[in-house]
Amino acid sequence: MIIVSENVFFNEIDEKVTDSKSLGTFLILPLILTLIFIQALRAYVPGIYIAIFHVVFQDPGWISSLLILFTIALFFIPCFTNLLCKKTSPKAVAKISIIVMVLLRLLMAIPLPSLLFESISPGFPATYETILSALIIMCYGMYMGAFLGNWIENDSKISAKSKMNFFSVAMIGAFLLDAVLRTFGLTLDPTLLTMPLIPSYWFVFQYLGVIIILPLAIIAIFITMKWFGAPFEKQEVSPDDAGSGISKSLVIIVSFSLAFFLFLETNVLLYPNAIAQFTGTHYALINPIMIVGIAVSLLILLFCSDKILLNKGFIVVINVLLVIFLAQFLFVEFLIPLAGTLIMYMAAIFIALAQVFFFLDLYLVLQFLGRYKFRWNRIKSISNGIAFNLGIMILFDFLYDFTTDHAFTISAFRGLGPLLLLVGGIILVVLTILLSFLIKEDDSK
Amino acid sequence: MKKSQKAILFIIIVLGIPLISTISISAIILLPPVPKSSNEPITFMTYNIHFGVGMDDMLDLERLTQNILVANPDVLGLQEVENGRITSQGIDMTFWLAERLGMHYYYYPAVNEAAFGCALLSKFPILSVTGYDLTSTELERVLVHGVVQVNSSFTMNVFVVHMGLSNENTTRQIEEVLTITNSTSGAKVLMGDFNLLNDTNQIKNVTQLFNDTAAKHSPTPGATFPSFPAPEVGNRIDYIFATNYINIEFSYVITDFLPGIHTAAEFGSDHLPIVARIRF
Repeated sequence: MIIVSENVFFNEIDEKVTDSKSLGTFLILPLILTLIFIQALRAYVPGIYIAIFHVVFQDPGWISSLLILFTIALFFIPCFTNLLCKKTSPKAVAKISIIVMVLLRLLMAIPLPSLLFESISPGFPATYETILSALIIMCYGMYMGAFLGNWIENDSKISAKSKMNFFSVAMIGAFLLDAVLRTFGLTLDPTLLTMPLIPSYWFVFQYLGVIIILPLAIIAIFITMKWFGAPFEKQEVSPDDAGSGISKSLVIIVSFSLAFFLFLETNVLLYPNAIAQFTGTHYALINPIMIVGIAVSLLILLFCSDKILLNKGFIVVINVLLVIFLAQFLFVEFLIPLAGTLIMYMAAIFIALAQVFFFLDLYLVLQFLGRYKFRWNRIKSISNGIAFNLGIMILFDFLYDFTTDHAFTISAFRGLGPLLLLVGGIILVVLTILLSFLIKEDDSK
Repeated sequence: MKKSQKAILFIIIVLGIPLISTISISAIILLPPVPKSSNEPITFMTYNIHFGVGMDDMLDLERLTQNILVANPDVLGLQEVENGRITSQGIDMTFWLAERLGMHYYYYPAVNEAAFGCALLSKFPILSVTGYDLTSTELERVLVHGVVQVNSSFTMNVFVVHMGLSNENTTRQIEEVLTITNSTSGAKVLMGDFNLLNDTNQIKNVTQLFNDTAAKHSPTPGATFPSFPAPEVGNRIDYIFATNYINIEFSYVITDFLPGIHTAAEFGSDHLPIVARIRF
């Protein structure tokens, strides 16, 4: 018999968010959109990577690759979210961002037959997919700013603390769903399948992406068109208003935290096969452990009290453990040159546990973003934070790439990959602990 | 429904469903491929798969699979294989291809971050396998050595390699590779992307100990790089060498995956695969 104690977020959902409109808008829609964002990021980075190769080696058609590199500029478009909200309305910006994002994702899910586009350019399908991914990522940043920023300031039925809890649960739920999808794809994301050479029996499988994305897209558009109004009904604070806080620079700290979270997730932690490779363990055994780690993170957010989750002592302890687990995972081969199988599996299990700490850090950063009073208004703070976060993440992805593929051009970077990941982890930990000391209970409305 | 019942249901959905589905898939993954044993000639293929990215810049493992299945090899050596990198969508390429082709597999990365690795895939059981780091001043290069059990009375040594680019590196790497191959006896196949033309001193050192299967079978074996647009004016830098065999039934470069059509989207990589069927 489970006894659900008083001050937990599960109660908030059970008592205050009982109608399907609220559940759809505050939980299901952010989950679907975050899932789409993760998939777009996964599709985007390979496109940029190949484009860099073409430009560096001046391959035929490198000019079109240079144009792909310019799509990085799209990541800074969310900085204009507040301006767009002033010109139109936060509701319009949020709705349009969602619909554009979902429709672009649907387009991306339909495999483009490369054979038909030879006459345009052999690389056209790749360019097309990369540009669509960049636009989806841009729209996600605008949605977060317009929706979250407006919701936090203008809906007093639910506290700001709880609103960020909703978003955190939705984000982690998206990571969980993504992990399960990739399990079915045997490490390949089945929503990103491309057209094979000969559509034999694979003819059905290549449309698996559409079969998965289509119902999610329909649900997202339905919720947006029918149920999306609640957070925008009362406009006590408008995009024209300035923020009531004194600091802008703390947004940069939040950006760095989110950036390093995404950097570590996308380069190592999101992929149990990468963990298995690093530690010489078996993917079939590590994958369930990693998925349990994500699921446990979600359950902790739902059933543990904020008094524990935002307790400074607790945060310091989990972050110190996080650095230790990350270090032993990244350097296990070097620390114990002839590390036995047992030690390798211990390293892999510890990093799976560290996933829980990573998601708790994400939760704390999102809490800070939602509750701290910045000098910019909330829409601007969140959308600028997301834009900077994406830029910093891409920069560190490039740096990480220089420690592997391009290490022969800049030999000083050679072999520094694990160190770069560890430095990213330490920065994330330090910033998270710093933010935990800045959050005050009375910041929450 | 009581709150505690809702909580239990939620826990079951959040924890139970992903865990059950993941464990089910894991159980399928852990099933070994159907073992093969044969007294027939063995088909070998070597293929530099360019991180799964074809000449249209699209990452497409199914297209690669279809390229490979044109020859349906028994033993497959791959180069430029990745695992779990964000630059290749986080896929474990060796694992995925092995499951798709129903083969045993081994992957050895060139760097810890699982880039530029070599892989050995085989329909026959792989009894033992070792990965070697080759000396390199540029991007790290590796050699994979596997002992493959063809039938109850015959095993053979298969080597898969990806060599460096500079003369200095390849000279040293060839010496290291030949030292390793010379430490084994019996039937041997050495295959991979050597990044060397066949008239170089390094390849001549190899052909003192092995036979170049493509050159043995044809006076003008085709080029292997680049795959598109015009491989006929490219270079032959991928090889299958063999020794201690009875005869080579055929060995050639596969240049056409879609008969009658010549297009960038046809090619799963910037290299072409070589296939050789050898009787031991």
